[in-house]
Amino acid sequence: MGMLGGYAGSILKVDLGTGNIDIVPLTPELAKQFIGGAGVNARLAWDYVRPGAHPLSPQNALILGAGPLVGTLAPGAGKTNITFKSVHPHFIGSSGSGHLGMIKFAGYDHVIITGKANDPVCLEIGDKVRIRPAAHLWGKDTFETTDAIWHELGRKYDVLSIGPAGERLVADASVIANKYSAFARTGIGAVMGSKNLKAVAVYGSRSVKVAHPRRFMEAANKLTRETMRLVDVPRLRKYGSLINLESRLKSGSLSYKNFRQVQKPGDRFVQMIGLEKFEQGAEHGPVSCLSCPVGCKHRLHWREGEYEGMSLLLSCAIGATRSFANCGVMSWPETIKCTEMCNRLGIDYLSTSNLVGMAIDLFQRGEINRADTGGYDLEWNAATVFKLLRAIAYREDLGDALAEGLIEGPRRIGRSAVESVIQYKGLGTPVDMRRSLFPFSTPFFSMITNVIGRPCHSSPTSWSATKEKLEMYCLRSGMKQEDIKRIIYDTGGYDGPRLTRWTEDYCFALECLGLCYRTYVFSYAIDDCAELYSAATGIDMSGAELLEAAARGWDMRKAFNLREGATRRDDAVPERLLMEPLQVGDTTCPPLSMEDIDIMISAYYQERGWDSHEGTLTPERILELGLSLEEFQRLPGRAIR
Amino acid sequence: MARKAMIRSSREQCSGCLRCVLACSFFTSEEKAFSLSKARIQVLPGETDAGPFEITFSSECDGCGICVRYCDFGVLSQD
Repeated sequence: MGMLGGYAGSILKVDLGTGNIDIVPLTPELAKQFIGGAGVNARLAWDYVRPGAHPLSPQNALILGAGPLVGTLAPGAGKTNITFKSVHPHFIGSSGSGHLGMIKFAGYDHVIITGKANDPVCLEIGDKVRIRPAAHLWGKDTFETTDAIWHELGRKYDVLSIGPAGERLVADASVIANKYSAFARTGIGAVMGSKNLKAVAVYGSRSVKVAHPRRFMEAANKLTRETMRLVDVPRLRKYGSLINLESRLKSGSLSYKNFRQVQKPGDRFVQMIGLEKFEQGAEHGPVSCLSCPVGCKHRLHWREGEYEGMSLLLSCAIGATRSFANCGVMSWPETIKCTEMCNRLGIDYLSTSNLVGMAIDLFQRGEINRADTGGYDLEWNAATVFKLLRAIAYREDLGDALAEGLIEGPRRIGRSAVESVIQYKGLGTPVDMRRSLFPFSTPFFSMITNVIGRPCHSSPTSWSATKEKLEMYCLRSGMKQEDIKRIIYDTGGYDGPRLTRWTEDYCFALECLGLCYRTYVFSYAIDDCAELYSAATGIDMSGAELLEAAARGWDMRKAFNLREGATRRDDAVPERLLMEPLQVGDTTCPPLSMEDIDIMISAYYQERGWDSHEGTLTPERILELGLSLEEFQRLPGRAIR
Repeated sequence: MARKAMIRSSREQCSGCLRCVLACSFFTSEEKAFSLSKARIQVLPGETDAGPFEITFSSECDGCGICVRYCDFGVLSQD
C-alpha cells in the first residue's frame, strides 16, 4: 500500500490443505472501494469462496479482517470481522467482535484461510506464521484450549478457539476469543471445525502508523471527550447492555418460553432478572474491547447461593437474559451459568436458545416425548437447558437433530417443529415482532431483509426516540435533508423499512472502519468518522463518500447471496408470527400481515436501489462493484434483471 | 528505574482496553506509531477465568504519565 497509513497493507493467505503461506498486498483500489474490515472481507469472500461451495467443505474460506482504524487510539476502534459462507448455504456468513485487532500488529489487514488440514491444527500468526499440530487440543473446551495455548505461547497472544460444538460441525457453533468474546452467528465455529482448525493465536510486534499523527490524535481526542461527556459512562459500566432493559420491556420485545409470551414491566421475570438483582448478586468490573474507553462488558463474580464463586466475563448481558428467558430461565446466576456453558462449548446462545426453547415447547405440548430426548423430560427450567446445551454441542440424542440448526434441525424433528420454530435465515434472535411492528424499529425490520439474518446495526428506533432526536441521529449519520424529510414524518412516525437502509449503511461504515456501532455507546457523526479515516490513511474522504463505500460493501454481500442462490423468498417472516396472535396482559397483538410485510420489503429494496420485486442488483451496480455481468447472467434463476 | 514507582495501578478496575499501551507507544516513540510490543507498559489477561488484567512496567518507563492520561478507568495514577 506504499505510503498509506492506517492500513497494514498486507493480506495473509494460508492454505491449510497444502500448508502454503503467502502474503499479498492490499491494493489501494480495494481499500478505497470497500474501506476495510467487513467491507473488504465481503469482496474477498466473493473471490475466495468457490461459487456453490458446500459451507463445510475445504472450498469455503474464513476471512479475518480489521479495518484501517483498528490498532489506533480512535475510541472504540476494536471492531473486527470474520466473513465466510454461512452454514445456511444461500447466505454470506459474518461475525464481529472486539478481539481480533491483534492481526494489525502482526502486519495484516486481512487473513484468508482456505482448505482443510489433515489433522487438527492451530494457526499461529505472530512475527512468523506457523501451522502447529493441535491434536492434543482437540476435545478441549474453549477455555481449556485458550489456557493451553497461553501456556505454550504466552498470554500476550489473543486466542480464538472452537469447542466441542465446532469440532462436531454444529450449525450454531461459535468461536470464542480470549475465553469470553464471541465470534458467533452463521456457523463460524462449524466452518472452522470443518477445516480441522482448532484455534488461531495472534500476536504482533509491528506498529500501526497513521498518515497525519497530530491531526489524527486531535480527531481521536475530540471524539473521546465527546463520548465520555454524552453517554452515562458509570451506568454503562455498571449495567452494560442491560441499560436497555427498561426500553425493551416497554416495547414488548422480551420474549418468553419460545415466543409464546412476552415479558412486560412488573412481571416476575423483571423482579428476578432486573438491574437490582444483577447489582445485588454480582461483584463486577468493566471489560473493554480494544481501544474502548467506555467498557460495556463485564467481569462477574457471583457471590450468593448455589452459584457462589462462579466467575465469568460477559459480553452482552441483555442478550444473555433475553435468550435464556425464551427457555424459561428466570434467574441471574442460572443465566450466567448457561452463558458460560455456551462459551465453553463454543455455541452461539442467541440461536441455540431458540432451538432449546423450541424443543422444550414441543415436549410440553406433547409433540415429542422421552423417546426423542434420550429418556428425560424437558421443562421450562435451567436444568433442562444445561442438558440440552450439552446434548447439542456433543450431538447426543435430540441434540443431534438440533445441532443441524434452526432450518434443518426442525425439519429432522418433524412438521410440528417447523411450525413452532422462530428463525430468520437460520438465525435466532430473542425478539418478537408482533408486539413491536408499529412503529417498527429498524433493527427488528432488518431481521427480515438483512443479508445475514440478524440486525447488523443499532439505532435510536429501538428505544422511544423523539422526532427531534431521530432527525438529529439521521443528520449525524449522513442522511441528506431531502431523505430525512421523506422518511421521518411530521406526525412523529417514520418509514421503518426505508430508514433501515440508512441506519445499516451508517453502522456498516463504522464497522468497516473498525469502530464499534453500539449506538447507545458511540454515536459519531459520519463527518467525524471521515476525518479520522482521512487523518489515519492520508486518503481524503468525505462522510458522504464513506457512506457510499459502505453501501457498496453491503451490496457486495447481497451479490454474494444472489450468487449462492438467495431470492426474495429468503427475506421471510417466521410462519408462526403470521398465524398466531400474541397475548400481552390484556392486550391481544394480532399476527403479522404478509401483505403489510411485502409492501415493507419492496420499500426497503427500492430504497437500496435494488429491483423492488426481486431484490436483485441492477446491471450498473454489478459493474460498479467490479463484478462481471456475464458471471451474473450465468446464474440460475433471476439473479439479475 | 527510580521513577517507575511514580505510576501506580489498581488493577481491579482495569478493563483491558489497552489504551494506555497504545498511548505509551505512540507518544514515546519517534515514529509516532501505535504498537503493543514497543510500549513501556504491558497489560495481559489474568491467570484465572475472570481475573483482573495484569499490568507491568518495563525498566524503560520514566514515569512520564501519558498512560495515566489515557486511562479512562482510574486504574493508573501518578504520585
